[in-house]
Amino acid sequence: MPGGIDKSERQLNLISALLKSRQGLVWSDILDINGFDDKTSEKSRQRRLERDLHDLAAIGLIVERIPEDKMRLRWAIHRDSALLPSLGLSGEQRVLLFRIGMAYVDAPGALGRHLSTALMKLQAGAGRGRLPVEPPPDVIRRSLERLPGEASTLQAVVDAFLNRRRVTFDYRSQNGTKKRVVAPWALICRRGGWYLVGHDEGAGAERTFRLSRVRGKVRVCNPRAKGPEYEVPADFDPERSFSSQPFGGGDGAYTNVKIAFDAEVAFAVLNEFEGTYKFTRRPDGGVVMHIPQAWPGEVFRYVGEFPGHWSVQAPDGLRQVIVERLKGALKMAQGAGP
Amino acid sequence: MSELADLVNLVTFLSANPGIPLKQAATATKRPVKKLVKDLNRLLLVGLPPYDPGSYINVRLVGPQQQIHLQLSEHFSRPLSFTPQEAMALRYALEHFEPGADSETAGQVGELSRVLGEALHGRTRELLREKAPGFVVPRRTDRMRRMMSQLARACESRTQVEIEYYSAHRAKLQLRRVHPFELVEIGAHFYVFAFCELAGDTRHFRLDRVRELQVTRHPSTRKPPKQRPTGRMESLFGGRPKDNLRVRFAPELAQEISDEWKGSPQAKVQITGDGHAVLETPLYNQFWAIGYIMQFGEHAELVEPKWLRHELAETIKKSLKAHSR
Repeated sequence: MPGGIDKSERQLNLISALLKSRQGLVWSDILDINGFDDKTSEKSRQRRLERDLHDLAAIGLIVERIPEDKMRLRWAIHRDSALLPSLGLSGEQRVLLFRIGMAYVDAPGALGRHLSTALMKLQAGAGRGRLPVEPPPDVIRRSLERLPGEASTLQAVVDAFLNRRRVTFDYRSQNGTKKRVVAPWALICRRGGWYLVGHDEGAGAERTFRLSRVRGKVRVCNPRAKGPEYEVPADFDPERSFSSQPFGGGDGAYTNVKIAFDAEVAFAVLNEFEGTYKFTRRPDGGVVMHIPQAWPGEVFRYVGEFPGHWSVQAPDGLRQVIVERLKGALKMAQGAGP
Repeated sequence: MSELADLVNLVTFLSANPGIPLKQAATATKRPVKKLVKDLNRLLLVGLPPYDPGSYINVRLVGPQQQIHLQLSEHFSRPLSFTPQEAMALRYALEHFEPGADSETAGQVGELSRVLGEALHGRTRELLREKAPGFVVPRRTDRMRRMMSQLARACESRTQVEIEYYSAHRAKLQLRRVHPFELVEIGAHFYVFAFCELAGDTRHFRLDRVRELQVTRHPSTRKPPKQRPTGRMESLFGGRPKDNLRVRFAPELAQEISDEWKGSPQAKVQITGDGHAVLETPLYNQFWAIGYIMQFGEHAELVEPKWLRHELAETIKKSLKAHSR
């Protein structure tokens, strides 16, 4: 332990001296810092300084090397990029940002961790008394988690996404299970689960992956990468390749779908979809929901929550599929095995 | 986060909040009190040349609440800028939050993102100003967002609320007076976690099953329990199981079922030698089970409990009758 103190304390001393000095430090100033003033060789102390500056850069403290003269350098912190600027937020905005952060701060993995430190900085940067030390009660808890089986996959993908790292995983599709290498560009949530949209290196194109179909662990391709490995294209539109519409869409989906719900459950359907889809009110208190596009599986996934309280009115093709499926279910319930 | 970043964030936080009690500081900086005391001791070793007794950071704990006062740490008064990951975490939290916020808050969220994007520098600024969203989540209806806003205010002001609620367990609407504690997102739904006077206990109420909501003038005297019971879709998968549910799925569905249920507490999916999938899980709610099974048509068979088969058949007949009109 050079100088009798450990690495973090030595580095804190270095940061302390750099922050205190407006002009920066020359080599002789560095040697005065506790932790650098040991008896090792000059070369070894210089290497130690370089390693420390590298660690400082990793936490966002970029130290500039300014030539003092032909032989000497001066090291100075670039304050504008290293220190949090005044964010220009009103008191109300600061509290709102804090509340929103708090709603996710318990999220597992990198999201919760980075939010936690961002909130500490936000509070410190707000200045004395600008944000309540006793934060507002966190009455809203938001979560990214959807299906329990997706949880660890989602966490690994979000971690990689925040760091802009490529990931690799085994993925099951209709053609079997294959290893994929993907640069995550976005995550889309549709009823019941998350879908990853990104650049699939094997296909050389944008692809969508349902997280529940990922087999085993998601790993970053290059664990030693220091910086981001990719940029999300500026013209990328996540919904270009995958619709977030609750009942799905695209080629093969049924169009102009009408589903009737009786009065007992109509309010629940309105709670979820009023304003998203058109509704026709019936005199008995029921409603008919008009959906531009839908897949039978997605329809069943939703109406299954209201057994006996719904019927598909149109189109005929979808109605027929639904009736056939109901007949099949009745056969099973009356004793035939699948 | 590195140990170094952790200590720098701590010293800037404490410099900005002089006199903060030890316990509160531990909560705010997400560490146990013991670890905070250890970190404070480490700060005592930080100083400036010439390192005489007057040039080290001094930490004092004052009074019965052990209020923390730092001296000679003024140069740490401005926090480090957000790292790219912190900036993105904030951005994604805003992005994910907005579709569930009431219209006034949603407008403020948009403005917040813009102000942050303009205030920051370099990479963090670029990341905050990226146009493509990172998380795409469905927008909640105006009615749901209004309810969430009313309930959030009721939780904060500790006020009782009356709700007309459709219970999936009872399959009927009932008026309930509840003492709301918090709004929680579980799976794809929002729930209000509250003490229910009708049930005489805490419950999770799914927001889209609330038909009417009235915030009363009566303050709530109930204290939230120390721990909120958690679980997958609490209202459907909680309480005392009525029976065991066993469903057999056709081979073409086996992988889908296995994917959907993997990781679910108490549920087990077994792929049999002939390729069928057999799902076994405690049965908490027969209405949910009926809706779940009938969606698979002839590809799923309810094996157990036997008593539910009749109910399932009757519900399907009712659905078929609705389609014959």
